[in-house]
Amino acid sequence: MNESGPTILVTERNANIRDLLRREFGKEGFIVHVAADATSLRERLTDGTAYALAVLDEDLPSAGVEPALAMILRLAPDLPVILHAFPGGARGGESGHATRLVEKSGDFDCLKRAVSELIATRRAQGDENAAGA
Amino acid sequence: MKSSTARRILEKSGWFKMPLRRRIFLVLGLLVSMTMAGPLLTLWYAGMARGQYTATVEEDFNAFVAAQELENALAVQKGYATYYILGGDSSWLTKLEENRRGFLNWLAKAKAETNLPHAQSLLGGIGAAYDRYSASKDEVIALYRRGQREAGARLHWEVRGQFDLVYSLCEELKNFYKNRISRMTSQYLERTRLVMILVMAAIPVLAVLVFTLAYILFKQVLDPLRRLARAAPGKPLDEDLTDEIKAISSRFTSLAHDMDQVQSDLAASRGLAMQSEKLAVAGKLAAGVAHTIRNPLTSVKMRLFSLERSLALNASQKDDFEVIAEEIAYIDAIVRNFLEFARPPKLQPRLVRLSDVVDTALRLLKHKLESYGVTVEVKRERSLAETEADPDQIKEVLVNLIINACEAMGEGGHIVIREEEGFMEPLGRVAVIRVSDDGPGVPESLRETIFQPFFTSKGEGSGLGLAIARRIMEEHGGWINLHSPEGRGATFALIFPAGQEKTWHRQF
Repeated sequence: MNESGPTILVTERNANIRDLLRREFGKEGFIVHVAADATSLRERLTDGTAYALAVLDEDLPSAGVEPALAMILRLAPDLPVILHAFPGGARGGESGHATRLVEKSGDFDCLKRAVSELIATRRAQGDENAAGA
Repeated sequence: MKSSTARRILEKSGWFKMPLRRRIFLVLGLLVSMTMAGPLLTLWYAGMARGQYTATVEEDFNAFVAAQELENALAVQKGYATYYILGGDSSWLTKLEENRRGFLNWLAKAKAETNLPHAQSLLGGIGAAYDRYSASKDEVIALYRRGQREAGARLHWEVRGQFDLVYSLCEELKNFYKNRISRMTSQYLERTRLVMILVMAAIPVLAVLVFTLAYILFKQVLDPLRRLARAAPGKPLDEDLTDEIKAISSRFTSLAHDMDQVQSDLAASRGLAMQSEKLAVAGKLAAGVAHTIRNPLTSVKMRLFSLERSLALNASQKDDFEVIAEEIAYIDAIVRNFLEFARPPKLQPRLVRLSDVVDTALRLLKHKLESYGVTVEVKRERSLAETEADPDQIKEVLVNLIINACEAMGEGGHIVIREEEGFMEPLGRVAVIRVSDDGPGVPESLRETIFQPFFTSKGEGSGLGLAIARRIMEEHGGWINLHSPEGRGATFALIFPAGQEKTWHRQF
């Protein structure tokens, strides 16, 4: 386990899914912080941790997907967000702040791939910006 | 000014509060009464005046004639005695006697003809004077016969005075009757004039009544009838309207028909509204349950996915595992159907060729159709014209219908998809897609029920496929029909409005 990997924030209302995602992303070397609802999401975003990415459950308690995205945009404007949504639910185009939409299904590898790709892309962009500067 | 006064009078009399029917009857009654009373009164009055005139004038005329004859008879006998004295011919005396009898006859007749006191008095005077005159005349004749010519001549001269008295009395009697006849004629003419005045006075009254009746008929009956005949909604104005009653009768027939249609539509709408309400409640319930199940189900699916990767399973374990995965996938499909059914309508319409949607659906189902051993034949003369529709939703309808047909036919079978365009009165242009199978068909008792949510005749399935299909068609302004002749398969027709016809009423 690589404890020095990027820190990601996983929001998920279902505790079992949340634990599974923490376990699976942990296996991939990520430091995983979790939030079960809008209140804990706020606490995580304001606890000073530099998150590389957030996975946002579209069905987060205490808030709809739009208020949750608005909160992320306000508290961490540069944080890339993957919207984890059921088929036919929230769509990427409608939730304008989400960086990517991943369908919530049994195959969580899709989510893992999307997280890795997005972090890699961001890192590459950061390197380019640093080289340019 | 005059009309406002007349209006005030009519208002005071309660004319305007009176029902129209009573007003017409009243004016008609007056009109008929006056029209009938005028001639009757005239006839009665004229008959009475004529009878009175005729009787009176006839009596007076006869009396007048008698008076004239008295005068004549008196005048004629005047010379007979003189002729006898001069010639000595006794035949003159015979004639004198005859004339005297004639005079007395007329006198008696004149007395019989009258009962008027003045006339009777005159006749009495004439009789007495004539008696004296006759006696004196006889005495003159006797004196001449005795040869006493001088005494006879003297008396003869005196007799002239008596003659003149009788004559003047006859003249007076004659004038009396003449005056009476003249007076009666004047009275008769006066009465006739009164009748004429009454008739003349009745004419303007009749005219007023006729105009009042005409006004009521035109303003309060015919005009409203005409307006009613012309003002029927949704009908063109008939400028050559000649028979208002016929037109209104026609309008009312049409209205009654429309009313029946509206009532029928209303009853159907009520049924639909109740059904929609039930569906809404069921939908909310289904959505709530599905929403709650979805998260733990996803958790199960994820754990299963995790297990599948980490476990080394033998063949039977793998078989069990696959069954569990299939059943979970089935539950997942039901949950998705519930949520789809409960979702608020959200069409994303665009111009599409429905024929292309049919082709896409068939491509998607290619493997499924092969697994069922079902062949599909598309009967298309030419590609359907572009229609505004949500292709994903229409595709879902077609997929539902085709899978249902496959399941109904069991192993094998043949599906025919026909595409048609046409014109439906009063709806206009339509595009129709018919999906027919050669399965057992749908029993008549289930033909409406199969479109209700949660109805299923299969061991598996959410019972929402056709309910969702119907809702999608209705959201497109069209509808879905089932035609299933006994034992000859089933045909589902998807009917789409084409062109401008986007807001149809559903046909029942």
